[in-house]
Amino acid sequence: MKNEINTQMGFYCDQTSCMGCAACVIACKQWHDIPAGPASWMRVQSIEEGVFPNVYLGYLPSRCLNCDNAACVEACPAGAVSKREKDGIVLVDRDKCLGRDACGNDCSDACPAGTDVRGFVSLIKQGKYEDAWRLIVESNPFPGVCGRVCVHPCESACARGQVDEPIAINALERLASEHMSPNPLHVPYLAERRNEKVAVVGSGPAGLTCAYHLARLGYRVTVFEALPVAGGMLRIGIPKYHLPKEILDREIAFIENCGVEIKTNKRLGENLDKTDLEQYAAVFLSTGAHKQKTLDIPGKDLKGVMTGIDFLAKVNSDENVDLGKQILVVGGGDVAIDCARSAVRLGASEVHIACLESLEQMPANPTGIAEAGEEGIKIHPSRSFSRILGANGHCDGVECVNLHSMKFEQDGTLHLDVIEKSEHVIPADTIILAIGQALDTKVLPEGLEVNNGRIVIDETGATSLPNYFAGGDAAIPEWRVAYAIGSGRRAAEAINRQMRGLPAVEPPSTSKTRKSQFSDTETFEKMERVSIEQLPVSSRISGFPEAELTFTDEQGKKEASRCLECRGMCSLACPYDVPQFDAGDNPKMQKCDSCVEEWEAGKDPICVRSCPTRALDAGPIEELKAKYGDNRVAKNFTYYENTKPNVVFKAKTK
Amino acid sequence: MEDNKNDSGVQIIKSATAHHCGGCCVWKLHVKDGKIIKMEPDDDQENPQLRGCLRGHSMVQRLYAPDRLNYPMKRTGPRGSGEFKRISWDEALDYTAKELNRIKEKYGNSSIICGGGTGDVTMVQGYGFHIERVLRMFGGYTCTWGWPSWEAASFASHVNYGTYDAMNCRDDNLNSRLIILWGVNPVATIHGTNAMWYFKRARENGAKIIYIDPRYTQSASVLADQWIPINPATDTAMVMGMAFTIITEELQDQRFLNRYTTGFDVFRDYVLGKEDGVPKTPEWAEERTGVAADVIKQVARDYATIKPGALISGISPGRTAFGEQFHRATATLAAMTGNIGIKGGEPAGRSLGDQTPFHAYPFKMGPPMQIGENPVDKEAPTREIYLPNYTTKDQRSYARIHLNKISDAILHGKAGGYHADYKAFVVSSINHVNQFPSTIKWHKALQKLEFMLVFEQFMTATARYADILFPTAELFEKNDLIVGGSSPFYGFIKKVVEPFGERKSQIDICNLLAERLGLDVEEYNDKTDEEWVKQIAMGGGDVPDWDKFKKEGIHRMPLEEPYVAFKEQIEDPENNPFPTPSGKIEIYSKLLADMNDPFLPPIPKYFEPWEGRTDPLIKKYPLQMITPRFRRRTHTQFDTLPWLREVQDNNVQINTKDADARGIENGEMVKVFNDRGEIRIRATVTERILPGVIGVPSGAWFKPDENMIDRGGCPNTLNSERYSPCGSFTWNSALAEVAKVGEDEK
Repeated sequence: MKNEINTQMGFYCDQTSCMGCAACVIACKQWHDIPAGPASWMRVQSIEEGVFPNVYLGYLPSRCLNCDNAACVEACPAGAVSKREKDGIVLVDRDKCLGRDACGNDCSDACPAGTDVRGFVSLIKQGKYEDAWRLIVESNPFPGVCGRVCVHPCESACARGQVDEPIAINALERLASEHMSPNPLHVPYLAERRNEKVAVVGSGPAGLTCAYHLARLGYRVTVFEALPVAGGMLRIGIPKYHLPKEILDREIAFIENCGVEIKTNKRLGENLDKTDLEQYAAVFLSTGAHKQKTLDIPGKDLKGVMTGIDFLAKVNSDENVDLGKQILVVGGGDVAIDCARSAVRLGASEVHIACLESLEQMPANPTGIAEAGEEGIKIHPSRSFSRILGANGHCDGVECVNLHSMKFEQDGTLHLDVIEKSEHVIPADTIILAIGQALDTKVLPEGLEVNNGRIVIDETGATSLPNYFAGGDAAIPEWRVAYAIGSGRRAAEAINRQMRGLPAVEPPSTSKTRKSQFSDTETFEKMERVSIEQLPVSSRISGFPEAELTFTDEQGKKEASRCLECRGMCSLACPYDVPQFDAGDNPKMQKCDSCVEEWEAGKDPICVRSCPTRALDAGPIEELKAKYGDNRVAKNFTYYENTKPNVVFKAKTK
Repeated sequence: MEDNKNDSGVQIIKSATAHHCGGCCVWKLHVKDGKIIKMEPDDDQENPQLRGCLRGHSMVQRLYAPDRLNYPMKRTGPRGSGEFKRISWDEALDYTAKELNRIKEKYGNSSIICGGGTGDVTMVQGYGFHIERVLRMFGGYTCTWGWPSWEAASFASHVNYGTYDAMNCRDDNLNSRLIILWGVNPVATIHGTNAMWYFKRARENGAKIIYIDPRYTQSASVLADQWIPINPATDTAMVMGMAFTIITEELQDQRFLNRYTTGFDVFRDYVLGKEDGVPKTPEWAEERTGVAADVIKQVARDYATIKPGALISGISPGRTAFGEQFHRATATLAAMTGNIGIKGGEPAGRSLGDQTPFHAYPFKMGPPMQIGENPVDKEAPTREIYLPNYTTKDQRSYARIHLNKISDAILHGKAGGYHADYKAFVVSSINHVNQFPSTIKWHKALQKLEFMLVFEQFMTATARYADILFPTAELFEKNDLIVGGSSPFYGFIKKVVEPFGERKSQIDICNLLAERLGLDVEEYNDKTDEEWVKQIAMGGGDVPDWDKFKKEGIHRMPLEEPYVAFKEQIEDPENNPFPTPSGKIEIYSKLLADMNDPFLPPIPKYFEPWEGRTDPLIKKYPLQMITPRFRRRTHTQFDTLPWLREVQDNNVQINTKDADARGIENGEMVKVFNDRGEIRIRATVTERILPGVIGVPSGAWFKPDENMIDRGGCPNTLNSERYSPCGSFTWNSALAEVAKVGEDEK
């Protein structure tokens, strides 16, 4: 573009004559009718140095330098900033300018974990990857986990989706997690240590999130875990090809670095009871839902029949599982898909899934269903199961009928519309029942109100027992990692409020709700979503490698730059701090326009015309260089080679 | 209004403007639908263009500021509360006339005080001329004496030169090879529009610039080859040390001294110690000034040998305990170095670049409105001490009160030795409460009055005490005239728009008041403001073309070369004597000798200043307070404008060492106090001020709380009303202490 500039306008400043009087500043505000306030197109920086009586006092007037490679032009997501051809003056099209806050918080609002999605995407856009990680862990200590297994409602909410496709927020979160500070001392801000002790029962995402936030608030937190390893369902329920164990280990280590103590092999109702918990000022119950539901049909106790949770737990702890050749997984959820895909990776030659739901009704993530298909898994939807067949005490198939349809009535009873005479058998060496889990309510402390298989909690996470709070799968209906994290965070806030004697209400607001305010998304340039690379099917089923690869930094930056949120990219990009924003709900960019109208009429900008000591000048840059010399260096001024500002100086030394 | 409107209905009108700011600038005003919408510098002017400062550029914001007074007001709350209600002009004028008549009848004309209207320095509407003329026709009033800004400089200039028009124009400094800026900060005080530009160009031309000031100012940062921080109020001692060096090294221009001056020998004997046994050596001066003797010697040698040299004696060193001695001494030094009446030199008596009525160039103006004789002055005896060639007979009247003593006079009246008991106070174009020392005393005094009338544009500290407020029109709402103080021009400040609200010009208000008081209105004033402009500008022949002047808003005197004061006296002394009794520059003044005041000696001398470093009070209040001018204000004016407020913080400057000793952090709210009062102000901790000195910016608006602690940070709360022997204000002779604000004191 710069080649097309006819006569580039430039700016001259005699730093030795500038007396810091600010006449230019007021002249500019007056001429352009800019109200008092931070917006000031013309600025005068001042610097004092030295010790009495050897002092230095100098000034530097600064305004737009109409750079050859104007960073603001490059940065604007809406193409609202451009360089004028005939004189290279950088101008803002205020109609095109999206406004710093045009894109709402839809993505952040949609995040059940309360992550500042808008914020971290913006940071990645600026190439500030570690900062992005830091911002995420302000709310969610599991970006590596969520960046892999989250169902990302943020992407559904993303305003970019109205233009073409949503931003790949999930993949960006994963990228951010890769920039986690390797230094264990680089934990977020920790409040001063307090004396109150808090117990967390269960080390799944809800429990560890709650513990993490409480530890950061200064509490002494102990997490009790029934299993020998921490992580809950993240550890035992999610296959490694989704969530490599080292990712989980890394994030749990980070939580421990923040001061959380984890005690494993402590099971509620066995070696941990209410009396133990009474030593704590507050208790957070996040025991999860580990009790596997089974099909109450004949043959369920035959050998070769197992539950999905048991199966995944064994696979995840590298136990040997003898599966045989043909495997049938019963169930239509994510656990069923995970079981089936794990079975493929264990070398089963034929893997089938059968479920009550139709293909459309299956609760599993569609991506997972599709990938299962790619891996050769056959799905038999709309089946009802009457019995498990077997010989010699070992199962060898399931008897099914086909269904027209199925639905749950309002009272929860199941209604099946069976196709008559459709009985058939799906043969199987191993049958994995993955039809859902439930909370083991027996171990819960006495007096705790339970309803519909869940601990009853209010919006803060408080239970019916004083000082007892609950979250995660044990207490919330949405069995998703992000929701569990959100419940842990809310409870941490509530516990903190209780400890400090603050009113329990005012549940933590996860973000400022603000909807996007684009009137016409048609005008936006379409930009293709950066696709995430996948391992080829042959490689991914030959073991448990992660199927999806992480974005490279460049891919991430490119993808993040699709974000319609600008948050002042022009101002962030400009090394000379020129772009500013007007007041209002959605502040729009404004900056020095070199008094472009006057310039066209052959007049100098008002700052030049108002300087009492005639320290400023403007004109074609080549003429200025010829007149004053090509000096780009002045005290207080750093000249960035890549932006090529059109300015020359008479520099001040003393 | 002869310019055509452009397509968008905008009319461009040229006009000058000048507040009491030290300059005058010329603008193209963009007028649309009866409002000024913006203003731009008038680039059409011949060189050099008179360029405005930040305050000039904010005139539009000032004109339409929401805190302007737009209607006559009557007080409803206690004096000082600022509680008023809007009334009609009829009611305001009737009430004023009734009160003035009542007080005149009951207590006599001398019970009415008026005077000192230096807030407006324009020649038609400014200085409170009109109300003073009205009051004189009304039977007189108690007038004031003393110029707040430069009484010392004017007095000294009259002694040495017989006139206060003793200054070269600023463009002449391009001829200087040495410039000594002594207590001069043109970035804030303008010092004549374009002064900074001329000084900077002079430096670029190779002139050496020595900058003497307790503060390293913005002006210093651009101009100073050498900064010499000096203890406040000791400047005269440095001049004496320089004189000692010049005399002992025989560097003086003896030919000049012989030909043009009287009494150098007496001065020489004093400097050498023959008179009092104390040689005023550089080492002697070092003890007082804090300036190293070697530096004093070097500056003396520079001034005596780098010629021509201009010693610009700013008026701030004169606003000290014995301030007149500084200006007498610098003028004497200028004579010793032969820098008077020559290109690139400077008489160094009263070098400031302000505006009318004091100016370097001898304009030939037509007569302005005459304020007439004051019967109250006439009926009183003459003051004991006065300089005959400086004051008129009226000005010597014992009836007059020194401006600094108005509050004392109101409080004590005849019992306090004053000429009368005072019951009414009429204030125009000035903000006494804020701008005159001992502010808290003012607060007490004004409670005693029976009637107080204030002409104002804003609800100033003084306006808050008024019974009746007359809202006055702003520049561009009335016609007015300014002449250049340090460059020879006439500026036409035009009426461009109708006054906003019910504001009226001073002339119009006084026409109405004269009528209400039953005076002969025709006799009082038979001209419009524009007719006055025309009479003054053209009446003496300086402005030849009225239409051109009116169109351009400026007329420059056509000069071949920069104006040099006393050029004729130096080139042809026989035919052009100085206007002194001896016809020569009076280093020794017989007039002063006759006055027989030991503190106004016939030759310049150094006296240890009160509230200086040798005053025992320094044990209690260890910091010398000076009250520098503030860039974003003209005295108190412009202070409330939002654009300007964000440019500069109204903070006390304190050296890092002094701040550290008191545990004060930069930006912290501190208290500054002495026996006269206490202010609260934030601290700027800086290396740019001499340790032991604090700078409290002048002009901050007095805002007392219920304990009379001034939360506004007005330095006059702490300043002394004691004036120098000649009558100079002593703003830079004050001791104070700075301390952290205790938790229980906030």
